[in-house]
Amino acid sequence: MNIFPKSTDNIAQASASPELPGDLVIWFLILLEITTFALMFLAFSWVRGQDRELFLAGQQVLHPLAGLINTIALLTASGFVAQGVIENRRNKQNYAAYWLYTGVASATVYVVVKCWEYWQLGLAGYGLESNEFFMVYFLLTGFHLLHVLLGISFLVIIARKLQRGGYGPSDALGLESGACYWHMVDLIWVLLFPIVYIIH
Amino acid sequence: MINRTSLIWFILILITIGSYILADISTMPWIAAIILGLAAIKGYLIIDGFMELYGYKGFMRYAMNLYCPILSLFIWLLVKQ
Repeated sequence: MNIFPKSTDNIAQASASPELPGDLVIWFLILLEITTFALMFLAFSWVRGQDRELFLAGQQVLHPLAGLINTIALLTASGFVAQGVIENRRNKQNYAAYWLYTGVASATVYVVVKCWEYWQLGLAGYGLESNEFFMVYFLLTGFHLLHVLLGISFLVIIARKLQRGGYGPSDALGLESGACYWHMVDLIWVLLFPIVYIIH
Repeated sequence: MINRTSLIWFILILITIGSYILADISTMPWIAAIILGLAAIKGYLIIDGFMELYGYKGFMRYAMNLYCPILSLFIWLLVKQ
């Protein structure tokens, strides 16, 4: 199982630098974002504790397999983006752009599956106002979906700049910042998936 | 030889599928604890591996690496009630 090329052997060795990757501003933005999501997760868990039966019934209507597919899609996109950062460091900007576009394609799977989920729930008559579970479900996953769409936009912009030679091994601040933002989106989903879909 | 990006990705996928299967076994609180613990491990792999904070010794790495375990613990305390 080796979907990433061997020429880029060790992500840690290729980047083992005492420097913080990306811009410091993006890290404060990431801290702000993950704190916001942490509060939303805690609110979700607290509301769930108030009416456990309602939440368990709501979970039965969701599609856990769609959640699993989405998790795999986001993790794969993150792997592709990480590979893109490494390729840029090796002065292979076209390869780097290719990996980023592949990441965008994988992330698009997430968007399609998530829209399908919303569509299915809509057809079944569930919406924001159905009950507390669906209100927090749509708010939480919808807010995350907006971040995924923003992350995809960043990746496309960065990939286009890579193709124009806008980044290099010594000039990768924007690329690394965009990549870290994308990994944050993935990180949030890694917690969202079990809380919403699989913990009963 | 498997490169590190592939290895991290593969472990993340394995943990994800493992968590998914585990959730079907039981609804006991300790299953939720294991699933949240696995999510915290996934967070660590993303932060140190994909975000490349491995080797960085500043505040940001500690803050990021504490995020998943602490949040998972609080969520479990709320969920197990």
